[in-house]
Amino acid sequence: MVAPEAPLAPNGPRTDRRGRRRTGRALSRSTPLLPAVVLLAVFLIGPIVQAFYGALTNSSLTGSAAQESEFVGLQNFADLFADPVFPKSVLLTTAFLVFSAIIGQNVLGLGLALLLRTGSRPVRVGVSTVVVGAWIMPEIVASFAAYAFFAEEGTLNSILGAVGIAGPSWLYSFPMLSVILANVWRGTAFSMLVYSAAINDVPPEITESAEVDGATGWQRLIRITIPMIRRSISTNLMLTTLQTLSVFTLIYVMTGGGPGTNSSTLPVLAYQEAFSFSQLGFGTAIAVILLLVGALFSIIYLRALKPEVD
Amino acid sequence: MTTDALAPRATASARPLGRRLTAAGTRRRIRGGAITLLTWGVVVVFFFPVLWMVLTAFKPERQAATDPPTFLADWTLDSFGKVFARDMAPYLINSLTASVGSTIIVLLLAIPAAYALSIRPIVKVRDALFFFISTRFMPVAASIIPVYLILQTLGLLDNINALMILYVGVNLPIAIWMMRSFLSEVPVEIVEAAQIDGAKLRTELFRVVIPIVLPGIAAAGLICFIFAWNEYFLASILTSTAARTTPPFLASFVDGRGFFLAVLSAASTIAVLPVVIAGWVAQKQLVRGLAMGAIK
Repeated sequence: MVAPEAPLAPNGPRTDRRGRRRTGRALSRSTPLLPAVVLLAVFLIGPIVQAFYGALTNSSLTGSAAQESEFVGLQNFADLFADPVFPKSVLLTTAFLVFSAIIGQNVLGLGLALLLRTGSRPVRVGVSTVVVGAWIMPEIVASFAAYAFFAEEGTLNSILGAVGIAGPSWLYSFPMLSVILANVWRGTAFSMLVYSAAINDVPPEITESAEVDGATGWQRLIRITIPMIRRSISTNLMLTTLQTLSVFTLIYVMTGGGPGTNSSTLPVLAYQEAFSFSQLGFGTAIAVILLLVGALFSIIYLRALKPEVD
Repeated sequence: MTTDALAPRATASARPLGRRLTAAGTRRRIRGGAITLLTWGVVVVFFFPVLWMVLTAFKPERQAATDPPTFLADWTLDSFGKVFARDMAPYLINSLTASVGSTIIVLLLAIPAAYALSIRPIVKVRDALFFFISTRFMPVAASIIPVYLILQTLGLLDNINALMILYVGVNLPIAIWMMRSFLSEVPVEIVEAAQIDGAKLRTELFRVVIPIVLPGIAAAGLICFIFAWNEYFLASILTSTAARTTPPFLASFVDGRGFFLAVLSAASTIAVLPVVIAGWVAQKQLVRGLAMGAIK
């Protein structure tokens, strides 16, 4: 739904007095924004400035550098790009993002929402209840549940064992597959709720008239439903992307980033460098890269959304 | 919208087309049955780990880790007893303080801000704030190190009020975003009428606008509460003893010797209960609020 816009100022020439009055009014109207803006500035600009500075120092949790950190310029970034773990981590992060967020959560979420639309009332109520229940689970609990499911002696292997298949040690042999599946499980509920609501906003008359005109179910989906909810799709893609970029607990609980660094995505790597290996400066440099990636996605997202906001 | 949150508008109207031919009708019914079956299959997959956790909580520790897993066990409340023996109450109280406190502050800040952004928007400010809000979605994991250092410098590590204020910062953008969507639905004529009658900003807000969007405020509040209640990452790094909240407390049940599954499940079940009940009671508002926040 488009916000009811107040009539906006014409862009033509205007007299000074009118301009000043307009500025005064704009100021008074934006006062309610002030507390929120100040708070966000403190919590956003503060850490970001600190992160950019910290990335340029050799600060650490222990040792002499803990007391007095020195300015080392771009040394951390030079080390980072020279470290073979870094490109690997970028690759793992990308795989995690593409398979669990973009493909897994969004495609599955949209599919489920479409399935749900054709369901009967008790089915819809039941599914909605279960999905909301699963979505509300605290991240830490969901992570343990996923760990218990994929662990060597876990539920999945027990079930496989019951039908005579000796399951592999999932978390050790296929760490990325395990965390991707777990993140799909955890995140699909959200996408499904968003897409269900979006599909409900498509006027039924349009799909019905297409059906009368002989469009098949597939054609109706591709030609009508998806174009009509494209704004929800782009928003949801971005939300799930940014959410997935910052997933830490799930991976840390399930694999700890291992074995070795085989499932160390950027957040896990930053955490390990900073808190396990005490290299705060180095960890912060990774965090800065992560911030830049997040900012990049935010900008793409805003660009994609813009024409339809106005 | 009727009682269930996901109900499509007027589904019945498309039916008569298919009824004309019985063969087509049968085929349609078979397909409908298959879809229903498939849907339930997916639901089972989604719900199984949750169900399993609750069942495990009522099993004796030894049977919780048996191979193959069993639905039959000597059901017991032992694990719940062990959880309370470790005194869970302070953690629950900390969680409650941080969640309720941050939710109240968030709503107090978000409603006026969203109001300025939706009812009488000023274009440039709105653009700026949109950028502000979008930056919120930057990975929390990226800002944790600076936040840790800042709190360390201020001597505010392991302080529940500091955690509460952090949660305000984390939840505020989402709340503003959601409230903006709800406020956008308030008919502009009503606000203008109040203005013509000489209502001041405060009267306009409290007497006219807020009563209309009360369900939206409830939804935004509930979502902020759930996020704060469930938050693990910040809490685990920024608190240790005095301000420890429930999610890191849950993690403390994991030990290297194994045999912690039943106790962990019991503690998790207790921790999940308040939000799940709240979520189910307010399911309709929750789904609507989520959808509004994310779609519009």
